[in-house]
Amino acid sequence: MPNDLADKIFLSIIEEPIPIQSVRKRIHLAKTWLTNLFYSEGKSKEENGEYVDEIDTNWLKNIQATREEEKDSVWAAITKTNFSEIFEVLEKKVREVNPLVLFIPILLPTNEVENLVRKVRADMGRPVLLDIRLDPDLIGGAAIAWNGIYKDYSLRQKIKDNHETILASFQKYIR
Amino acid sequence: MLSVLILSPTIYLVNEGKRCYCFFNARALLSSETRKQSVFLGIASMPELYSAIIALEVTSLVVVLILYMLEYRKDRRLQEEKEIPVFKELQEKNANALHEAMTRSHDIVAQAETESLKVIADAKTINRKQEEQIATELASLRAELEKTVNDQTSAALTDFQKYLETLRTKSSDAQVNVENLAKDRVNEFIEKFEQHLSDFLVHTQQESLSAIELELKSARNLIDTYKEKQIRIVNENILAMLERTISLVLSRKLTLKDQTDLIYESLEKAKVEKFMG
Repeated sequence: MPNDLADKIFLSIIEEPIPIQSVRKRIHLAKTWLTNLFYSEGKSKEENGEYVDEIDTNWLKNIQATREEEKDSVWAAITKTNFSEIFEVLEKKVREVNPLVLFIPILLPTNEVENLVRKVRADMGRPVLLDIRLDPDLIGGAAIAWNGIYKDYSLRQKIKDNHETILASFQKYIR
Repeated sequence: MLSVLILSPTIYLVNEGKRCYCFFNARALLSSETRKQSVFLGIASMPELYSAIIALEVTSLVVVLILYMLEYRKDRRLQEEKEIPVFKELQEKNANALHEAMTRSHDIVAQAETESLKVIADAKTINRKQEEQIATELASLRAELEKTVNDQTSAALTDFQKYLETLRTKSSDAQVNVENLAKDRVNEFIEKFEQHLSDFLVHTQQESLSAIELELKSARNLIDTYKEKQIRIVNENILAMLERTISLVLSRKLTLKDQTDLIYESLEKAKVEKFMG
């Protein structure tokens, strides 16, 4: 039962077009909230300096409302007894998931990230988790690591692929 | 009873009962001593012979005196014991015997002196003859020896001169032969040396050329390697500079839309390659 409940919670989290970093953050936010709820009588402790953007805050408020209003929701099914086991399963799922790693040269805004996640999921036809990492050396474009294979589609790789042509054009000016 | 006492080879004492006689054998002395000396020495020394004779006479006189003293003492003792007539008779007999003995001893001595003088004269004569004979023989021998030595010396000188001439001829021939042989050897050595030197020079030249070629090849390879390495470094630097330049320029020039478009373009390319399938 706790496993089924954990699966449903995990699916509800990754249903939204967010990267795996946001998934970890939301699980952590939910765990902190429920811990405060069950063991500190609703008094929230101060966050440990972790940045929480507006979207995540809204998501947290949303699931808090859902737990209050919809008694048959997955969030309402979490009790003091199954709380620990459910979150152990959730954290394990996040650790064991196989994300598609996308290297990009700049930080993208949240809406662009969501668009990117939608695009990848649409192209792959499944709710794959995206692990977005920053690599400024790429200059432009992106590099992808999937199932242990890395492929570079960036401008840096294009320069390397065409280095002979580029050098030949440079060598015209060397003489 | 007759008893004979031999005092020496030349003196004999004869005792006959109550009387004693002394005899001298001077002949035996001369025959045994002087003659031997005269024979073996050739020229014997006469003073020795005289000394022997004088010693003989002195000895005989001493013996006679001793005998006389003995008889005298005996006569006195007999005179005391026996009768004076008998003693006188015996004294006369003794005196006669003594007189006879002295006479005979004088005769013997005289005869010995005569014989010794004769022997000495004979020895001198013999010695003189022998000396003359030896001198003659020596002169003859010397003459013969001188002649033989002169002849042999002349022959040896002649042979030696011939031998020297032969040696001189052989030496000159040998010198010529040696000179010719040495010339041949030297010429042969020089030819071989020239040939070896030529071969060595050619070989050395070839080795030097090979070594130079190898060195050149190695140097060219090094230069080519260095050149390629430097070109590769330059190219890498060019690419790095280009990347850096593009990165710096494009990071400022590319807009968010441009970056997003490039990311989507990369995703499209991955999709086309079915990398994310």
